Amino acid sequence: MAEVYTEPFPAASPTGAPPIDAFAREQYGAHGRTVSQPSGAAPSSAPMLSVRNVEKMFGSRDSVTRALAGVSFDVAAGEFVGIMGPSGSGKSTLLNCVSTIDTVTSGHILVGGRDITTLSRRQLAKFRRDDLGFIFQDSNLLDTLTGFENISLALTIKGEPARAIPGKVNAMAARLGVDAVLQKYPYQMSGGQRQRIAAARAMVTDPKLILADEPTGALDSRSAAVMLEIMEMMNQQLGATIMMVTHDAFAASYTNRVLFIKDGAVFNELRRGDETRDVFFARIMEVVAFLGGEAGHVS
Amino acid sequence: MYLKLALRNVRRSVRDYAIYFVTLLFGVAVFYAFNSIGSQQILFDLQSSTSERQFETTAQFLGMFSVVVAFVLGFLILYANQFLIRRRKREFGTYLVLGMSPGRVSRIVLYETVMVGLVSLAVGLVTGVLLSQGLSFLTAGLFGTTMSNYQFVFSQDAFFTTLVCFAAIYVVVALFNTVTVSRQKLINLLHAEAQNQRVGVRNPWVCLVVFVVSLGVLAYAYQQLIESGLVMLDDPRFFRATVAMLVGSLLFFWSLAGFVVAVITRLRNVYLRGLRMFTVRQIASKINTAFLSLWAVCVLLFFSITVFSTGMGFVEVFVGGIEKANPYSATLSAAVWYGPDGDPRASAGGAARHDEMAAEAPERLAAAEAAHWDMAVPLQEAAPELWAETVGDYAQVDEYLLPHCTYDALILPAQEASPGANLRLDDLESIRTTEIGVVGLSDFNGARFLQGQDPVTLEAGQYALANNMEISAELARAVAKAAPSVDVLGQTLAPTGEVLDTQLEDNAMTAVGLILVVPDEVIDGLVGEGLIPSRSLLNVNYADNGKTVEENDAALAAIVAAAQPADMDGFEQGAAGADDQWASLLWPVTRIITANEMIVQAAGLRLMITYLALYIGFIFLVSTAAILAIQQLSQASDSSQRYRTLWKLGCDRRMVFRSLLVQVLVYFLVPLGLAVCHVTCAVGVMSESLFNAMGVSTFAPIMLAAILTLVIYGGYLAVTYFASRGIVKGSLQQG
Repeated sequence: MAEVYTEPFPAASPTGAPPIDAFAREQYGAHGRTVSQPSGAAPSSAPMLSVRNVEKMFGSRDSVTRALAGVSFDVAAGEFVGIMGPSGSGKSTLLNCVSTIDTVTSGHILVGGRDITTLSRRQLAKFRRDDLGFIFQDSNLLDTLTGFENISLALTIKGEPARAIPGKVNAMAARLGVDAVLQKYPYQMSGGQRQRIAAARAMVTDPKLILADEPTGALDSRSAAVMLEIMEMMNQQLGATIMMVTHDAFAASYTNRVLFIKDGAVFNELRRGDETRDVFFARIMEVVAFLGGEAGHVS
Repeated sequence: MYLKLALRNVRRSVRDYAIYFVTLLFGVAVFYAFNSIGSQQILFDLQSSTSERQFETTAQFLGMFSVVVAFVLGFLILYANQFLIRRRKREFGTYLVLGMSPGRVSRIVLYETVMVGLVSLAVGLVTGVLLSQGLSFLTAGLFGTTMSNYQFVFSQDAFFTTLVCFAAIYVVVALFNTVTVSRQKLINLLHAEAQNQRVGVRNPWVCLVVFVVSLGVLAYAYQQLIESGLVMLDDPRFFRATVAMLVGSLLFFWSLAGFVVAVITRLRNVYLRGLRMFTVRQIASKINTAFLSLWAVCVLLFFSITVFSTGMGFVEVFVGGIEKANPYSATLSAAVWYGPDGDPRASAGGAARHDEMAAEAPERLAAAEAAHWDMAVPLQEAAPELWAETVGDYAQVDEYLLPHCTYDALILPAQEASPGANLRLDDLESIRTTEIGVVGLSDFNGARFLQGQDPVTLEAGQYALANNMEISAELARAVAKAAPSVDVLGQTLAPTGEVLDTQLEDNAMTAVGLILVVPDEVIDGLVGEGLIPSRSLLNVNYADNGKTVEENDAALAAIVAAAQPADMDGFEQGAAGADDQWASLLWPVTRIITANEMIVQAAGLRLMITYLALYIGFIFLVSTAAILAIQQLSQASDSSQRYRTLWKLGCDRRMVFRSLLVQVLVYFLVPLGLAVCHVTCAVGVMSESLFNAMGVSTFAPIMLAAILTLVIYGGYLAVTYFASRGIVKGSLQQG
């Protein structure tokens, strides 16, 4: 089941991009940000996120669990990528590694051309607040702060001047349709509103990459659809690069491309191209069914 | 196996146990130290039964107070323990899921409680024994002696009292834990962390109004307090001030957070910076939910700091000038005769007093006239050898009242001369209707001779003013400034202009209040008019006979007993000889005061008040600080999810810890701040009305109170910060 340890790269890089030296990438990747991409656009030449042969082991020397077994893929600027996989496939570990909440055992992760696996603890914190936006399953809003304050917090942590903050927050909230609940506390909002506030918090700092962890997991189907449309809008109109981990094929059908993770490695990749969402959804379901079937067969 | 599990649990959560442990340790140590005071007396060569009695009284008093302290500590330990249990609900839930019976889980908790209890008891007792050695030195200082034969004191009584008290507390804690754990529903234990608390949000406008009202109520309280002067505790203004202070403080804490949030959120430049929003909201939500305990903490702090800083001031008021107030070995005083039915106001005054006394106390008058009012004569006759052996120098002071000439004769000119001065006539009560006291120059100089002062001289037609009472000092200065002349028997006496400071008797305090020293001829004239002394004082210095002061005191009592047989009605003899009685029907002695007795009593009072102030101050400070610490720790633990979110959003640890520090600081300093305001007002008023008047400085006790507060409160603050930092750090590291 496990792959050979010594193999430096999986058989093929899923995006087809050749492995590039990290330093060279840093030189031209840092300012290569594309602001807007048409729907279903092909990835640009300078990836926003580049995951290179990442491994993650848990446990002691005697009993090693390989959660990630050499994952490699790229996400281009302005792309909306979904990561799918059965539970235990390593998709959450992958997200934790990219978000720097967890560290890799080996391999490299480059965001905007910068290798984040070599950063110090303080640099990591700075990276998270400057370059990343988070949307969590349970929104993770601070329950003591109002909607406005929750969104502002992302900016104040960054050291944004106070006078610029209200304008940015109000504009972002208006785009996401939550300007009416800005003065409310999280417990006074609906689940969908909470998630959209969280999305606004993630977007307001204009990050290089937005990471979404099952953003619709706790929502009813109607709110989930609204949330996904908003993320689609963020991607298409605001130019956000989004990587979304989900187990829900419906959610994944909103993306440009879906990566399937299995046993800690990229197992398959689907591109939406010019397909309608329904068609894309059907293709995703096929892979899911196959993965599920195999899992059922094994167990 | 369960024991091992318990041991590991304690070791793992050392940080959580820190506050619990420190509180227990403080409690045990202080409890032992103050209960061991009774045993300290073996350190001192206590020569008199008086000193021993002072020790006993103090020990008894502290023992009584220890009951209250035990309850306070018991409550505190239970409270701290509750925090530990709450924090570990999930762990207990896991044990239950694994199939452990509730009884077993309770037993693990019991083992943990007992382990921590035993260790803290042992460490606390050792600390307490060391602390009590320190208290011995303090005791020596308070008694004004040095320890001649220092030895290590271990009080078995205190040891067992402490043991029993804390064992009882631990049993209650153990019972409580068992019940808590076994009564919990499994679902609640497992999902303890998921239970989201609702943030209590108050209407900002209501908060604004209530906050302003609370400041108004507090201002009213201060104003009432200042007006009342804190002299009489049954003053309705004092009562109103107390109620207003309590209500005002409560409203203050209720509305504070809402008010501050309402204001600060409008200051965008202040508010929208770094983690301030988060910090402000954290503090606000904690203050809003815990305003009642903050209020209680503030009141307790106020009480303990006030008790501590003024208690010692009171000691100084009572006993500060005790050496100066007792310049003679002993004073035998003769009240002579009070008035018809013992009421001076019933007397017609002047020469009529002689006839009144002849009617009501003929034996005493006869004895006095037989001795020509010389107190030494009957005493010397009754026990000539003992007298010769015991008494060295002695001198009598006879005080007369100027017939029909009250102090108004002095006060009215003084008021005119010093219109702005506070002459404290209210405090001097009936002085304006009291007749002026006069003393003959040779009597006065006799007293001065006994205490080594130079004699005073008076020209004919002059008088001198004597005063050493603090309460009438200002009036004496004003009188000296006004320099009114006084008419006595048709002769006009002019003042010398100075105020003489000579204590004329042994007393609890300096007690010469506006006495006029007049030429002997004036006294002779008064006596010629048929006047009798209002009182006579025989001041005695003991002979250098090689006997101890206590032996001389006893000899003096024996001399008086020889002159005035004990089988007749008794009189006041002071605390030392309260059981002895002499015939007050006879002249001369109605009261014996010895310097030694006064000084020992003062030291005893000082010992008791100082120890009580220390004890109360210490226990209350520890209690309040521990309550705040526990509340902060539970908040840090409840908020771990929030800190984790902050961390994910890109806050580095420094930012998070700084926010935490601000939270802890504000939470500790807000109740202290308000309490210090109250203390400043109360102590300020007392200094104004009482301490300054008595010439007592409250600076040293206030500094001592500040240091004690700084050490205990600051210590808890530091422990709290580091413990909650540990909790937050742990939550950042997990998963």
